[in-house]
Amino acid sequence: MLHRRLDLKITPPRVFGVARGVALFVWDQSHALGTERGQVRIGGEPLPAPVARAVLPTRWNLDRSVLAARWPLATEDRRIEIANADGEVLGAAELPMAAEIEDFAIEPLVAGLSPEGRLRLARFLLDTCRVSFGIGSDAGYAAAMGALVTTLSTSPGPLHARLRLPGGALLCATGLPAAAGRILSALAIGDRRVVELPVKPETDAGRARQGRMPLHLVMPRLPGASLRLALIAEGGLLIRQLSGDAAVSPDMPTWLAGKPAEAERAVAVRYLQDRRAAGDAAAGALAAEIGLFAPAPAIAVTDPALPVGAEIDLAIDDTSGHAFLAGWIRDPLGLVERIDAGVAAVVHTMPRPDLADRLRLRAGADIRSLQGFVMRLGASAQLAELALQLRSGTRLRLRPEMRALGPSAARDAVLGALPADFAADHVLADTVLPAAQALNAAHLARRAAPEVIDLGPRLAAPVASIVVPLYRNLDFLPFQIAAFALDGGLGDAELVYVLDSPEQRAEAEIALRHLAANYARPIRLVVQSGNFGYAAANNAGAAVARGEVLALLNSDVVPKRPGWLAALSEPLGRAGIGATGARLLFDDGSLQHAGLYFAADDRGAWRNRHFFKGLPRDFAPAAEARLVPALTGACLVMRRAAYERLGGFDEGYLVGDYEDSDLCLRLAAEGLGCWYEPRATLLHLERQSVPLHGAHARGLASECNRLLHAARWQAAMEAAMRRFAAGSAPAGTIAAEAAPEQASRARRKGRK
Amino acid sequence: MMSRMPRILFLAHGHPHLHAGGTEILAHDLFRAVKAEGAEALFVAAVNAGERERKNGTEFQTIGGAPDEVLLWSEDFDAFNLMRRDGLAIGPDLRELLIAFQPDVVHLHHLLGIGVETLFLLRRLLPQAKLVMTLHDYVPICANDGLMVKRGSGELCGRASADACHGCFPEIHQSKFVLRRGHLLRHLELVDAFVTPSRFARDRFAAFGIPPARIEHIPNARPPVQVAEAAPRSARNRFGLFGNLAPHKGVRVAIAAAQQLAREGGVEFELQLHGSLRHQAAEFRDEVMQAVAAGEGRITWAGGYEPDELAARMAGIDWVLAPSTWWENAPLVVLEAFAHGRPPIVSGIGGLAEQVRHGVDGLHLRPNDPAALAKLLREAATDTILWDRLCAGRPELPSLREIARRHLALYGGLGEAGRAAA
Repeated sequence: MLHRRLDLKITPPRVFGVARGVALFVWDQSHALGTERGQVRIGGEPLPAPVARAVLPTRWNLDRSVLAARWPLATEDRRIEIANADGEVLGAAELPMAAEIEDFAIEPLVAGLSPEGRLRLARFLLDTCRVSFGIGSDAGYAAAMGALVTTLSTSPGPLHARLRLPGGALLCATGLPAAAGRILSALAIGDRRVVELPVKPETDAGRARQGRMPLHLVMPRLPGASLRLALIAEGGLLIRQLSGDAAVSPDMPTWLAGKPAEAERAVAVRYLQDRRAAGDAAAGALAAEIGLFAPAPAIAVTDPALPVGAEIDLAIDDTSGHAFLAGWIRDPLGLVERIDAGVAAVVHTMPRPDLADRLRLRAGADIRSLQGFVMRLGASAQLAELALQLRSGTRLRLRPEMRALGPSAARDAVLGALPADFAADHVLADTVLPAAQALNAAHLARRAAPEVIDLGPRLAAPVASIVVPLYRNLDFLPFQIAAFALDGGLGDAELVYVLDSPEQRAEAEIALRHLAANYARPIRLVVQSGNFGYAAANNAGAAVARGEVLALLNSDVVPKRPGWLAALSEPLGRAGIGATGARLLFDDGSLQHAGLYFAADDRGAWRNRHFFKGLPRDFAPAAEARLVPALTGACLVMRRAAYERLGGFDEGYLVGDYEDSDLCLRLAAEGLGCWYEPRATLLHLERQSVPLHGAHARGLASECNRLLHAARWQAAMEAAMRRFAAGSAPAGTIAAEAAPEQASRARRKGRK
Repeated sequence: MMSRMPRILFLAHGHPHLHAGGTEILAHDLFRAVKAEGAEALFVAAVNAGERERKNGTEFQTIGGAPDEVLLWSEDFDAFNLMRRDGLAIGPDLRELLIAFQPDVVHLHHLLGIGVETLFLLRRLLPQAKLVMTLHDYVPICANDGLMVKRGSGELCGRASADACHGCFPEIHQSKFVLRRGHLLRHLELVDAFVTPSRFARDRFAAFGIPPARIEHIPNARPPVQVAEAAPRSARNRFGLFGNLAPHKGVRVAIAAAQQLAREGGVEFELQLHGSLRHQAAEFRDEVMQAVAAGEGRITWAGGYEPDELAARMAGIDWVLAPSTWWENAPLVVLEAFAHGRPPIVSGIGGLAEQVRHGVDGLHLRPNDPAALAKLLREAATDTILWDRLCAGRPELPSLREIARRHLALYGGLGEAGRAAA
């Protein structure tokens, strides 16, 4: 139906400048002209985008129409027509001449507007126009908006500065009447700019008092003297102004001492995390410090009387921007739909019946319903809003206790998060391993150059260097050093001890100094700047070694007879041999090591194993010198040049394990073999030193290393075992020269 | 033989004037005897805070003013591994002394307080010297005070092994015993010649791992004594237990036997305990004192004695009783019994059984068996003919002078033959 009522009223439009290049066209019109959905044409053409229009109710029978468009207009024609959705012109008027654009004025805009109209006008000008035309940084626009809010709210409420933030922003708080309803938009209005607040403000309905509740927000720093907050809420426009002297707003410890509400903390932390993600290190540091100075209390569902329970036992930020979490859920009735993190997350669950004791469940409780979970979050643990989501949509909040841990302690906590028995490979690969690796790398990055102490005069030209890493257990030193001293064949060998537990520096130095004097053996003591693990310790020792031959020895290995080093050095002279290893015995005389090989267990996991482990020392096959797939690092002899060329042990392994076979496989890749030499027989008291490291106890560390190792070497391990079975040496070596008997034996076997 | 008398440094774990233990006395007697033969000698004994204070700025102190006897400070000793824990095995003072004295022979009489690593240092500082070690007890073999007796049960132990030793010391892992033995034997390799005063001990050390060809058997000897002639008596019924009154000397066995004998009645006898109880546990001391108090004069304790008081003590007894519950090596008390003409009644095991011939010069008893001992005591107390016969069967023991000469031959002999073959 066409409305050909050209006599619908339109007051003469006025044009106001609102920002550079943007003008507001303001007129009043009959109700019948409808709402914004009509079309406006000037000079017969629709206005080019961007265009924004608001039709605001007045107290009278007219609506006020406010149109924002680019200025100056492209056309000279001053006729403005308002058409309906079908294009039918419903009314027309003449625009004033270009020169007659007026300065922005409030009164024509607001006069006669109903309260709802004023609110919609504010929203239109502050939000819609700003965003559509990108005029937030226009000084004229800012001034106009300043004037607008001054008019619409003559006495702004107070805005209290609560905490100074890096970059000059302020954490602020103010009160909101409950009637205000939901906040649609929050803007900071300064002399020359109008900006949205950097993070969404948080109301704290839980602390509402007498119809008012707190609102927490972050005010950005804006140039100029005045700074106001404009809140466009469902129930109205609220303006706030900073009270008092913002320059003396409190610092972090003062703020924390006042026990800020959780909602306030959340806003601050969210702001700081965003800034950190944008590269603001100070903001990141402040976020971390807040977490450390006043850790938020843990929230868990642990009452055994409840039908469901859960707790986050561990939450670690792994320095790569991700977090690792571990905990448990008890859900015998199947009430939980999922665990929700509020951010991107990989979640794995597994049965954890072993937790029954810890949770002190009632007798008869269904322990099959006990599950553990591990998670890898794509954000800091502090930002995550973890909750159990029940089927009804009810959320049971969870929060971990955040502990202040350095990267190595954090790494160890991750590696101790659950027993190895319950951690399937894919779970480790998804969650534990990346976190542990990131933390390990962060820890290793803190390394300073080790301290080198010479005890006794340095050997002028050592032929060999014996490198022994020490970690916490110094008990074997007198036995080891006496054995070295009473071995005439070690006269040209320098002794290098690397202390990986520098807190024992004094004790180690005294013990070694005295042993060096007693036994007239110079000793070089290398003190690591922290506990950086087996690979790093050996590499540090090798770095100061000067002998042509490098003998890596564990601290719990004691030679049984003299001559072991000569026996191990000799095969290095043969072509194709990259490293030699010894026959190692447990204290009862059984075999601890007679060569290392690779085998898949019944779950297909490739592990390192020792030939004939536990069998008697003189078990005949263990008495044969031969090529083996790999050798243990507990006693490993090779040319120092080769070790350096390969880059030593790989420090990406966690704590210690698999570095030795990793090195041997790198030798194999170069065509160099590992030679097992039983003429060198030493005692290896294996049980004594392994459990001292927290992360290692039966650890996830070992399993993670296994995964790393297998990912890198699975094909090579399979190839090495095939070659070993065939009796041949690594490709490219002169196998027959290296092991003529072995090769001929293998050929004879092959013929059977 | 050497062209001149050798210079000998004696290294002992204690001095008899501070602690009158058998080893200390024997080592010191040998030192005096060797000097009497014309050799130059120095006696160095370890001392610790139990007896003296360390003197400021030196590791040495003296004892009794003798110019050739020195005490060497030794504190913080690891008795299990026989290692010094306080740092340098021998401090600069002793090194200086060694270099100044330039001994031809260093004769060690123990490792306690001295430390097995000292052997390395001696070998290095005195490359031409002979290292001789006398094995007076089984300390290198056995961590239970060198007794080779099982802790707790008191059973006799025939052989050390990591498992057996762990059985006696459940708190110490087998590997510690393996390390200990390896460490000791490795250092004992440096010793040129070992001396044991009994063949039994030589066998024990050979089983431990010391090459038997390197172990020489030279019996102990005591300096000549003023003998307490036995006055004629109608009954030979006074039994004396002499020396360090420790439980492993069989004091309890003797007391129990005496008590049983008294209960059975029908024979007059006396059991006299001669020796100090000072170093014993309060519990044990009380036990002994209660037995004495209830003994109605049949059990007496005469307290400790100086060496020159021994004759007087011997005068009051007829038999010397040594019911040790461990193997012994070649205990002084038997030498003293023979010297004073008092037949010894000894446990028929180990070194005691070697020293005393049953029915010839003494009697053997079953160890740890008070009833059997009671029976033996009754027989001994009532049979004076037996006593006469055993006295007559008393062996001719080598004098201390002879033993000193045998040692000098050993010291000298090493020079010509070089080190004894492994």
